[in-house]
Amino acid sequence: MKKFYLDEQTVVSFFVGEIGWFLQRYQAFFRSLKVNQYPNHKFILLMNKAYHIFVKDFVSHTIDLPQSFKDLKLDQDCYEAVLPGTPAGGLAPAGIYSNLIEYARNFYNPEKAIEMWPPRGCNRSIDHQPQLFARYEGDKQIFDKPVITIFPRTRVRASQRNVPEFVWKELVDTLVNSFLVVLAGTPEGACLHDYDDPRVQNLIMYDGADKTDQIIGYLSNSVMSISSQSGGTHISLLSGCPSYIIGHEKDRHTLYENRHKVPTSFRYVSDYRLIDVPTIIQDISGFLKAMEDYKQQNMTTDDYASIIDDSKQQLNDMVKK
Amino acid sequence: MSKETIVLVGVCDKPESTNVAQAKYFERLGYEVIPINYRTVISNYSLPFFENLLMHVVETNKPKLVFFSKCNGIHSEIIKWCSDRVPTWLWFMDYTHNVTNEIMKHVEYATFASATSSEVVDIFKQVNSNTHWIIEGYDPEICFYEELTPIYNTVFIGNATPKRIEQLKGSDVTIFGSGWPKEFNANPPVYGHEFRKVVCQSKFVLNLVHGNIFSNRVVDSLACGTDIHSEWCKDLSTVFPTAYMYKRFLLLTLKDVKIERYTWENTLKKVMEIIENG
Repeated sequence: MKKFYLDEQTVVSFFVGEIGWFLQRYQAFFRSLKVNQYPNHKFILLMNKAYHIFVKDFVSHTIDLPQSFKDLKLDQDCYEAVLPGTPAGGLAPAGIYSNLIEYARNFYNPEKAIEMWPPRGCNRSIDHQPQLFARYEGDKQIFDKPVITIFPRTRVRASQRNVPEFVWKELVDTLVNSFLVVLAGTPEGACLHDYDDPRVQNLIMYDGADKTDQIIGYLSNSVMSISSQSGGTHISLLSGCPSYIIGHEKDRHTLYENRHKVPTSFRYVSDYRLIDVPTIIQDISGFLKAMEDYKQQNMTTDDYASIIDDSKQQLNDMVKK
Repeated sequence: MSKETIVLVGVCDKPESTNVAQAKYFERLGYEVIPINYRTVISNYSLPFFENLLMHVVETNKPKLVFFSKCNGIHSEIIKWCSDRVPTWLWFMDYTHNVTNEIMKHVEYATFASATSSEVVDIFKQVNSNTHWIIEGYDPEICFYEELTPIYNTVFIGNATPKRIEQLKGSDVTIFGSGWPKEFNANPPVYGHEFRKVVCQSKFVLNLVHGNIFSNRVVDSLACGTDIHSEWCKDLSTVFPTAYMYKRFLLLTLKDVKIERYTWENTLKKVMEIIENG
């Protein structure tokens, strides 16, 4: 098989940190470079290929991480990939990143490339740089019941921020009566791997290449997502999905990192073990009602007319083709 | 004088949807079509919002007809609300396995109903005697004979199903469609003008059936002038009685059928005549 090699002007980087930090910072900064500074360069990223969907609008080639790196089974902390058990703010052991850079150089001509490596550790420098955020959307579909996508975070790292698994399970048990429940997340970062019910679409153990596309597809059709300050929260916010978030950083998730100003409902907890299902159900019922009331109150006959006009225009365009 | 309106509740925002051709030919018949893309509206807003929008459109336009295309996932009561004010039509293109309680309620509340399968019509008549057997039409601006060099001997255009996979295993039929296993070397699905080109470049089009219903591709392919080999199907031999039967197959050729009868314009004319005659 012919090896991939790009012998032209490129901007290159890699990413091995937390998905949330990638979505809320690095990819947006990288996109801004493409749009504002290097529109004619090809952009290459070395990272988990499943994330390509988040940058497919401007990254021409995503190269998967080498097996030798994956075999290290590192944990993620902000921008960093660290050994499991490393205290917060720690860095990767020496040599790991240089090996990644050497590997990346097999795929492009370094003399024609602008190599831009990500910040290390928990670093806020990019927060003050220009950033451009895309909105991720899937096709609209109709389901028999309204859809709710749940990201049941269960990580070894910062495990004090896990809502107990029995709470997630009881929540799903309750919601399946009225909703199509989608369970999303990674096997390493979520619980309820084995939750099996025909009324539940469990994507946690699914490892197809289209897994992230599927999650975004469901989020685009969900009445809301439920998460507890995890990577899923950020995917939901950037997909425009109304987001119910359990956590301790309200302004971060509802204002600063809510880039598309999607409706959010935040349940503050000082201890993640103290949330219970009746509270969540009461919260999400109120959230649904508030969104519905807002839509109805803010709808005028002009809005109806505009929807009809758009549909007519779209139809005319198709008929002319 | 302003045109009479028809509200088409369906999927008019996807080029491959039948509702797009229906809207086009309702307009050719002189009506103004108001498309309501119910799936998109429900998904973008909500089911109550869709209902409010439809009620607003019906009240402000007093349409000649509200034409519901299948419309699974909406409340049947909204069809009843419309039927209490203006004539409504429930158009259905699936086979019996998709006739759910919900669809039966839709049919019951609609002023008129139709299905493309005669068996479905029999079921619908249990709740609505104003049910008619009407097959899908074709668009003569897309499906017409074009003299092209033949490339394919026999083509099959359609997505994979377990039955079709079993039937076409080891055959030399050229396939266009989705979901086929690798060994079938299937080409991507074709629609519209691309569909015509493929059909006109073929000696035969193969039609495989799932029960007593046939695909609109039969009518479309005939309109392109290509002969059809089809599995036997009662509805097909009723609609095209001149079809030549051999073993368990039917051979249909354009010279034996009056295909013009099945343009969308003529099909929808029939719909409007039924409404006029009550």
